[in-house]
Amino acid sequence: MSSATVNDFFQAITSSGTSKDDLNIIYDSVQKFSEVTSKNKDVKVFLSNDIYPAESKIDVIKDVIGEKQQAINFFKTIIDFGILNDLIDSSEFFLKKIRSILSKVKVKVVVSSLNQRKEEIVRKGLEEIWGTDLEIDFFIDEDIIGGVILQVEDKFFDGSISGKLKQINNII
Amino acid sequence: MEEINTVAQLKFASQHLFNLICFIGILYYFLRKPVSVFFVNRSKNIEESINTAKNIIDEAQQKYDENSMKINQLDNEATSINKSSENIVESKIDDINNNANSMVSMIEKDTEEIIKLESNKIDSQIRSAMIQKAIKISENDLKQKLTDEKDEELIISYLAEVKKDVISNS
Repeated sequence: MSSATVNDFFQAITSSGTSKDDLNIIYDSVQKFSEVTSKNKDVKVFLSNDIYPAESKIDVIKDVIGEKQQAINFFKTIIDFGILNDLIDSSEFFLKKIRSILSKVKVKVVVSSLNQRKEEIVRKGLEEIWGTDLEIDFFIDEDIIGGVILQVEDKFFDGSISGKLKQINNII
Repeated sequence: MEEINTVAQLKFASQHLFNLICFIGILYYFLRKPVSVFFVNRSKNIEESINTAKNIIDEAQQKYDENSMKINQLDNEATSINKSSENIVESKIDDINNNANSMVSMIEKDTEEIIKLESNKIDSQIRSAMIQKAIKISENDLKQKLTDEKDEELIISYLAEVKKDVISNS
């Protein structure tokens, strides 16, 4: 990935006075785009191939993300910058960049079992730490026995019982 | 008749004796020098032969003496070689014995060390297996005893810990 070009691109986005709402729309569309390209190989191959014209690619992207103009403009700019392949291969990097512009924090939560009450407790606790603009994904893994594992962007917090037992095992 | 025969016989005998004496005288006259020369030469030859034989005997004796001396020298050398080879063999045997002894002591030390290491390894393996078993038992016990309320308490207390950690780091 040509990081200079990507950085230039994000500088262009932030300095062009794009509103937070627009960025949220862009973020949602990039998420949809990422889901489809990771699941559908044909779409990925079509968009990665330089022999197809930009207009055709935009038409396919419209089918994927919908008709929101801000998002379509974003993808047009991506194609103009020649970083569509970078976006396909490293969509999480782009999403992370947009999240940092939006001051949004992505949190992956792993618990042994989940109910409404537990979800509320976790959500409340996380909001107290990182604010209300959180994107929380819950996952259930019975092997952790109890407690919680958090992945906040690049940081990893292990408060699970299995994690504690592993720590004890390592110490002994 | 008998007297005439005797006289005739004597006459015959004296004639023959005279002839014999003449013959011997002639022989002596003619053969004295060559015979004496022959015998002188013969005696000279014999003397020369005796001298040559003496010389050969002397030379042979000399060679025998020389060879005897050489044989004695060779005997001495062989004896000294035997002695030195015996010494070398003895020192080699000593070296081999010493090497074998040091090897044996090294192997003993190594074996002791290996036994120690192996026993330590087995100890740690047993300890690790016991710990794993204890952890497994604890896991099962916790799975059975952990209620939703207790789990929520755990989550709340851990989130408080994380909050503290995040605040202190920022």
